[in-house]
Amino acid sequence: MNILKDLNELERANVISVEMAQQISDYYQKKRSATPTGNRQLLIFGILGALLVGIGLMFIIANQWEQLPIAVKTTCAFLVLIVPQLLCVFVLIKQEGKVVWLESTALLLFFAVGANISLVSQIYHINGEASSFLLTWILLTAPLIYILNSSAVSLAYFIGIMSYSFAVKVNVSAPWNEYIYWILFVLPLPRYLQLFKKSPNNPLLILHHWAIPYILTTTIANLIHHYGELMPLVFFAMFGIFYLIGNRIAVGNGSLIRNGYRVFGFAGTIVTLLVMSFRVTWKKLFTNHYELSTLFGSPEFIAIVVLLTLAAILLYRETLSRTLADLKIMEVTWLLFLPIFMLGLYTSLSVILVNLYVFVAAVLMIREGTKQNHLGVLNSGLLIITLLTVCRSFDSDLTFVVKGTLFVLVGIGFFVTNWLMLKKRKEHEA
Amino acid sequence: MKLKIVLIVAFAIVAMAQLLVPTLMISRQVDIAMTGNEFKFKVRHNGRGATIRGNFIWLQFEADKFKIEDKKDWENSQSVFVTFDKDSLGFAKVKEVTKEKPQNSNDWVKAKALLNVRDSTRNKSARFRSFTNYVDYSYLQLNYPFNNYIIEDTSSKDLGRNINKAMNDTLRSITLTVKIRENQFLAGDLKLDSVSFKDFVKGLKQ
Repeated sequence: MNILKDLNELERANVISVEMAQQISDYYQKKRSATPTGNRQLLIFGILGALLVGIGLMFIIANQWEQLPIAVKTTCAFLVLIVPQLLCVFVLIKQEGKVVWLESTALLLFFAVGANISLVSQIYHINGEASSFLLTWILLTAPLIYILNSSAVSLAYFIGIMSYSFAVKVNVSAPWNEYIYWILFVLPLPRYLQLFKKSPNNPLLILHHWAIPYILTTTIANLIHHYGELMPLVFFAMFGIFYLIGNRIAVGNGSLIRNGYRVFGFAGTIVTLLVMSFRVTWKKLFTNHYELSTLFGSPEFIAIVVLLTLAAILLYRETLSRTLADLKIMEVTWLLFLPIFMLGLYTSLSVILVNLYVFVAAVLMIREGTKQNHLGVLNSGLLIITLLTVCRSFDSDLTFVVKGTLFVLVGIGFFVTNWLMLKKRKEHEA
Repeated sequence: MKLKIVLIVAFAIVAMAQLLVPTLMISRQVDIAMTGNEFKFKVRHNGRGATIRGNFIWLQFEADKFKIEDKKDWENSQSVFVTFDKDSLGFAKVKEVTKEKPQNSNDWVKAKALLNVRDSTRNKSARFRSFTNYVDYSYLQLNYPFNNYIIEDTSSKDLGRNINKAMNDTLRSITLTVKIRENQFLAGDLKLDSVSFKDFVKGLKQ
């Protein structure tokens, strides 16, 4: 560390005292030992190595080996599993606390379990459904997250359950399997939350911050059964939760690269709003007749209740440290959309309200960008207006002249606002 | 130290489970090999080709349809129980398809039943005139878990093409032997005429 090298020089020049130099040295020494991921590069390359070895093993073994007798093939299949298992035992006993060793061997074992089941299936011609193979693999490796305290396995596990949810959706003969996915999703969360509190700067945790919202965004549609038209509420609540969680992550570090939740929360809310700005998306809601007995037990309704409650709790916690006026429009979209949605049960006025909402949200963003002198925020607002204009250009009841005028106005808006902002910056610098 | 011991014990249990699952898979297959009833399925020549998918070959059997009275009694992609029997030549045939587990026979597997059976007996122009005419709803199309047959690597294009050609050669008799017992099955030899698939591929390679 550079500052430690300079300490002697500073001490000799009487800039700092001997005691102070010692205190600074102690502080950095302590900080270094408190960080378990001392060598991040080594950790990343260790995991990458394990990943490559795992994939390589699968390729090699899946390839030309038909000539070998079954007994040899079976032995190989078990060796693929036993060797990583022994490596894990060695790490648990001899390399305790060494993160690189732990993460690499745990990830290797994760792939070895999958490879072993595939190999045995291949050798003995056992055919089965992809969903049952993935479920077996996931269940056999889930405990490794806690026993080996492995974030890499946790990440691979999340990707595994996402694949499982896709495979299950295809298999209509066992619809109840879909619900297992949500139980599987909850399993590694306690460790994730613990890691979130203990070491918020862990690179693997930051990858989790991207993986979890991505997986939820792609799999939440599994809930759709008979009341798909209620899903906008689920989407808004989910993206609202993402945005609010993103706020908590941003407390430590405001960088967007570390904050997948905020990116997904923001982009998801905007996309859902734009989708709801089309009249056709409300059509089924206007016409459907709801039977309360089946509605209350439906997965869509249960998801709405759970997610809205969670979003309300997070928003309440947010208001404890900030005033209501400080809240951004993206944080409360899910709440403001509720009355618009209810209105949509009786009238088509909701479509106009959503369009107005998107427009106002974009204008507020442009205003915020101007206030903060932030070109990114300003252009995001302009981009939203552009997308809204593109969406409306698909509506057949607008003439080409109106559509063209809208595009011209948005284009001029881009030029003028950016020019004004840059001019303001130059004036400040001068 | 205490935590370390707990972790090692927990890991040992998980490791045992990881070893137990493939062991059980193998023992189940060995059991079926000894006690299962053997059926010989005639493979239908697939005119459309493209039967090879990576390390699998998709086989379509002649015994994969079942006549139904009313399509309303069945759902598309429904999971059903198919009981097999042997015809006069010793080949497998579908005895019955039920929604409940069969009680009076052990020779059954679970299969996926599709309602939209394509009627290949109609000529092409009729197909284009009306797609609905092309689909026959009086049969269930049955997809068995052993439709996908694992084969050795066919990464070479020529090899794959030759296998495809042979599989679609109507002059060849292709059969797959499967041992069945209460939804457990063991796919055995795939034979082209009397040559096993393994030897056939070996011959192509040479």
